[in-house]
Amino acid sequence: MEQTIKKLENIFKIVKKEKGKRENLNILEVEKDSLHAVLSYLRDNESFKHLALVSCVDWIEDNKFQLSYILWSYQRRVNLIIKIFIDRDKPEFKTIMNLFPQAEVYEREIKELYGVNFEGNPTQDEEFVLEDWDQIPPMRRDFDTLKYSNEMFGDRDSEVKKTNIRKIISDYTDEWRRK
Amino acid sequence: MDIKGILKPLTAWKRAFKPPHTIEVPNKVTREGAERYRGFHVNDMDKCIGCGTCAAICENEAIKMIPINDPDKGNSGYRPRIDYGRCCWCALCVDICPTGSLEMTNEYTWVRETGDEFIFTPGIDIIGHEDKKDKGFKKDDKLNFLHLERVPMRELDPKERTQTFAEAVLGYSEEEARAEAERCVGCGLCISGCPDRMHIPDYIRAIAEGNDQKSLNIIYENNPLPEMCGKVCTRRCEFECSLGHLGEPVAIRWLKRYVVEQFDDLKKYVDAKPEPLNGKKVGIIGAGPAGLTAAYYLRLKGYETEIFEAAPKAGGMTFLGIPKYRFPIPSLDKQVELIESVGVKINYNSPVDSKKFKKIYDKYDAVFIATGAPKGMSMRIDGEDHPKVLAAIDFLKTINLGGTVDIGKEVVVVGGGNVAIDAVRVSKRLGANSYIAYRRRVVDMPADEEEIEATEAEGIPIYTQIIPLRVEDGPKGKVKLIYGKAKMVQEKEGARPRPVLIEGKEYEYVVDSIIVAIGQRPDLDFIPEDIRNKLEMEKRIIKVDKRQMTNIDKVFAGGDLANWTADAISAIADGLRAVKGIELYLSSKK
Repeated sequence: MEQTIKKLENIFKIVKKEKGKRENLNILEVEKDSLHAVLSYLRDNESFKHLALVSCVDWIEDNKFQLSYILWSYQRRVNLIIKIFIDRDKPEFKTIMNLFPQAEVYEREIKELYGVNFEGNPTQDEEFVLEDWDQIPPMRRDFDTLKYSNEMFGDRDSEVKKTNIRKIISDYTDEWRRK
Repeated sequence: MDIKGILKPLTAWKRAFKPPHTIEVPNKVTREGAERYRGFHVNDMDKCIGCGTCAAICENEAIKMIPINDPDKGNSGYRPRIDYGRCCWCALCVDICPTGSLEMTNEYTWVRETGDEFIFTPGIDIIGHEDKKDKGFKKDDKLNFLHLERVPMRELDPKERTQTFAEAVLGYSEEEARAEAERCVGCGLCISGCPDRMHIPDYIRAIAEGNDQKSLNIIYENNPLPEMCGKVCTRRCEFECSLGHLGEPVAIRWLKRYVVEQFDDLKKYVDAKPEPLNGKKVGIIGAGPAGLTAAYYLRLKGYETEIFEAAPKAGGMTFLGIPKYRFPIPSLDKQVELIESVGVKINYNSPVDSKKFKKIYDKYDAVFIATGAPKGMSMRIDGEDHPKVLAAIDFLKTINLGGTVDIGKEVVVVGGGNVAIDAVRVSKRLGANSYIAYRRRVVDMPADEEEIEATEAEGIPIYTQIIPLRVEDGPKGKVKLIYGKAKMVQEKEGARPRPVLIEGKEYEYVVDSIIVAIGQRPDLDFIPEDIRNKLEMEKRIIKVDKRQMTNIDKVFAGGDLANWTADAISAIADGLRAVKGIELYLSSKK
């Protein structure tokens, strides 16, 4: 694997190298403009023929989205994650369907859950798992889950009184506690 | 009209005569969820203490605490109930659970007719997934949200400290205290362990926020001797701390100590404004923790309070009994100073006898007796009246009052409580080769675990399963403690094993002094006989009601002479209860 990474480094700019949590997992951060070239190089020259998953992370503090492309080599039985960062204010990137057609579904999922637009993906605006969603994409960290839960579910369990357990614990002992 | 909606079914009809795309699950075996999959919650009812930390951390308010059992020490009796409409499976509740009772299964299917069933109390409502918890999501040891290890307390080196009466424990620095305070999850179950129900999470929160003065004032809401408690409390709270289930409990005692140590002149920082005198007077006998507490809070409420104390200083056993390397005089003085500054009058060197008791009884509207348990208990063996046999409490008292006791070069201390530990460590500091002889095993010792550790660190041996048989004269002016060995017998399941003498063989310690520390009892000789005969007792202590009232009109009692716990914080609690009791009594009387 080290050789592969060295070869890659000779051709592309590797922003950051990380070791994964298991032996056969490596993580490389590349510049977003070189992503397609990196993926096609790995697919055609390094046996990473399988795109296992595309995923996204919301780094709201840095105002960035991270896109992770997880590759698998059947030959070597290793995973390689190629990750890039895109601007959170302008959540746009290009589809990789031309390299891995199955990315169509993954990108559609990310579009729905994070609101990242993949230019060139024809089906990304179809509903993936959410029905009639009218809020901001729910996996964005500024999505207010509590507010949504309150509006959507209200207090379904109203016969059970809402308890402030901290207060109950501090009160259950004795009435002479507080002056 | 929705044209598409009419046409759409036709697209389904297209496939009507073609083989289906979906296939049946082979052998009807569903695929198991991945390991650490976040399925449904399971809660181990034996481990859960109802601390509510899961509910507190839940960002969606998906968890409600509902009452299941009666509350108990360290257990609120409440259990979490989860609404899966709100749950987003972030599993913060599992990560933060202080006991590790809350976990998840790796089950991902659960089908019900209505969504309303997706609200249940794991561990109470059985949904049939419970056996799948081994592979589901659990707390990760590496990414633990809880800080399970306490900030270590700095101490004097054991070799150095046996040479001196200087304080052995050095106290937290500001940085250490803030870090330790940060560990608290704020559940408040510690309060159930504290006899005085101190507002522990509140004052710890204030320390974590960097507001020591606020913390000090929360502490003073119901404890006028916090530095004493911060140093020598039996810290029953810490044994109920929810963090103690998986790690070390928060160092509540050391945090209280830290706060009070930050203020040299408490008068300036404690917000204590006594109400104007209301004309009622309360006489208090004994300036120990119970007496001082009652006097301080009664005075704040406008009662005139006067204490009669036999010793030259206040503090009772915390002054006379506890060695100075644990609780130094300046610590005591600054707390008593504050108590006196609100208008409590303390008469020092004023022992009360039956004549004086009568006077006090007649002069005051209520009397609070808090003279503690100053008499050492006897071993009830032959030769115990030997002049080289000392009661530990008398020994400690003499040393603390600045006197000397000729204990000689070799000392055996009989007993396993905190007083025995104090006596043996003081003997060591006086230069004697001292050791402990105890009837049961080290694990059975009632002394504080940390005190036992400190004793062992100081190179003091603890001999166990020793039953004293008799005391005899030894050679060259020494004294002999003849003893037998005991075997531990478990008579009833669950009961504490009892030491039983192994007959036939006798051993002996030849020493210069035998110090007996096997308990103390109250001394009520100062109460006039006619009152004493009417006073209702419960074995050797005075019987009181829940407001510390005795069966004698006007007379209240508290502290070691009225409770079996016999520690300072219980005495303070008695004092506070007496405040309420006396207030109710006097306001009803007019």
